[in-house]
Amino acid sequence: MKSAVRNVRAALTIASRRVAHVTALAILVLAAAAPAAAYPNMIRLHYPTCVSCHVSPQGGGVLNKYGKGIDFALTLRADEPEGAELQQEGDVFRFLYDTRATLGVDRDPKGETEYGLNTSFRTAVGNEKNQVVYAFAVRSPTLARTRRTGAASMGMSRLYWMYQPTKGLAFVVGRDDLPTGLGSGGMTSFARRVNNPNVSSAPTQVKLFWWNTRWQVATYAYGPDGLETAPQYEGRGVGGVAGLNLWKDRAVVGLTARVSKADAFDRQNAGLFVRLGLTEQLGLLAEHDVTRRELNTGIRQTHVAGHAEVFYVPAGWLQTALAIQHLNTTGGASTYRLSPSVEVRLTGNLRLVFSSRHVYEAVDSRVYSVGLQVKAQ
Amino acid sequence: MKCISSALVFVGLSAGALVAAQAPAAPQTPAVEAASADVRGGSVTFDVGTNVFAINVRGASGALNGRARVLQSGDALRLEDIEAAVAVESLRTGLKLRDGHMRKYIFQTPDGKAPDVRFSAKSAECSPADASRAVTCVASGELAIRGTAKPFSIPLKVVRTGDEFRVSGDGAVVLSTYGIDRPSQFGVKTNDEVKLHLEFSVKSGPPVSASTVPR
Repeated sequence: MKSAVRNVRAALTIASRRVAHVTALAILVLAAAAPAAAYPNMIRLHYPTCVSCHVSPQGGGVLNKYGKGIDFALTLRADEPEGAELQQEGDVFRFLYDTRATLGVDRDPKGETEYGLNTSFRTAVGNEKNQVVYAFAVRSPTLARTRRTGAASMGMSRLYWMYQPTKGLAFVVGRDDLPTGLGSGGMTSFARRVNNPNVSSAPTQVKLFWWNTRWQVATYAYGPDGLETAPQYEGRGVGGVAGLNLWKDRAVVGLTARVSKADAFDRQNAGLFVRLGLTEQLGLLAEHDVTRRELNTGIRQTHVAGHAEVFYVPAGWLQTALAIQHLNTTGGASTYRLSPSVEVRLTGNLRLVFSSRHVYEAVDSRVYSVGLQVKAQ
Repeated sequence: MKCISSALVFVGLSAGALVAAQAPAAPQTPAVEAASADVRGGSVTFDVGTNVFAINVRGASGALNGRARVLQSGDALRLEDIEAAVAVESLRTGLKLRDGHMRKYIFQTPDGKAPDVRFSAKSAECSPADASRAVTCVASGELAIRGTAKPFSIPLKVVRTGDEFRVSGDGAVVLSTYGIDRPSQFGVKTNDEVKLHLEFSVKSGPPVSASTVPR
């Protein structure tokens, strides 16, 4: 008991110093929300679930201690950190956090080069059974040589409480991304502007996660987060994601489904996903779904959207990928996107991302991007 | 008298012929084919659970080498003088940092060397082929890790296709048997038991001797 109290006091002292440092850093920088940096391609290394490395069972967000170690190991200058062999015994109080600043440079050959700076701060506080997760983001306006687009924005993007009564079971209440098959909401976010417009991407929700060596199941119910652009977009719904672990933790296939209602439109959605690690270097991620919407005007629309990505990781610090996305509206427009990317993980705190996005729709466009991410954790 | 003598001779000869016909034939001992067999490029995979739910550590090596003497008589199979080795440097988990950690805490001797993991067995008794034509051979010998040899037994499933034998086997190693502490990294500690899976193909080499096997 005494040692537990000592552990908590020590952790609080360290935590208070870190919070002061991190808060100062967050205030100093004006930026936009950093994209979720989940690595679903970790299935190539026999990690079939996101919960191995992330606090949240659905992936993305703050890394747990093991995940930070793995993240550190996948860098160009990976030396074993001091104390790596020490095991964290018992149910101790934990303060996990990371803060990121990402400078992005986007170049459209037909237009001006644009610059943007994003910052985010994410934390998870608690012990093994109870954790509170919080994320805050600041976004700068997009700057070009002759103009400025948008405005600086800041806000809380995540706040939820997670309770894990036993291994393989977790309950979550609060604001968070909705679960997806690939464990990264960013992969299908481009389709949301068409098949789920103006609805919050991180609504208030209640979720249950259950997982074991074979199954991964998430069920959820959600409601508005109060930040919708208009009351008619306040969606309420239920959904689920179920994945089956096949082939020695190298392949997960599954289904997704969601039903929601809002004054603007009712929506039903169903999809399939696969996470496949063919070898330690090569694999495939794919998620495709069909969405049916009935607008309040009586119009019915059907959208087919998907993300398919081949990744190749020749070395842990060098990750390449080629993503193909599509969004097709029956009787309407179609959009296809081709996005190659290369990420160079220089150190545990510094990484470079080179990417391009080729969009094929009514008017084709192309953007080349370079991003420099600085992270503290 | 002469007729009786002839009859007796006839009966005697007939009886002798009859007895001779009913006597069992002298056994024909089948020839035993003996050949050396070398293994190159076989694979070993290992899988160990940890103290954290849903985290396992897996790794593999594609550099399993070995040799055995294969004695075959009809459908019967016997393996002798089995030697196999895996270079520690060839074992990979997919993370360089973890590979180095594994070599240091599991395979490295106090003087800083990392000798190959070696298995040797004098013989492996094989059961008759089953319906799928697979033969199970139990190889009992010694497995040396970090230079320390301990008794180790592994059942091997052998399937012959043409002049090639495809072999697979599953076993388990208990780290504490070898005086190896369960390694811990990034807050995760492995279990004591490590599951192994072997796979390799062997082509029957030149015969080394021919002998008969008594029934």
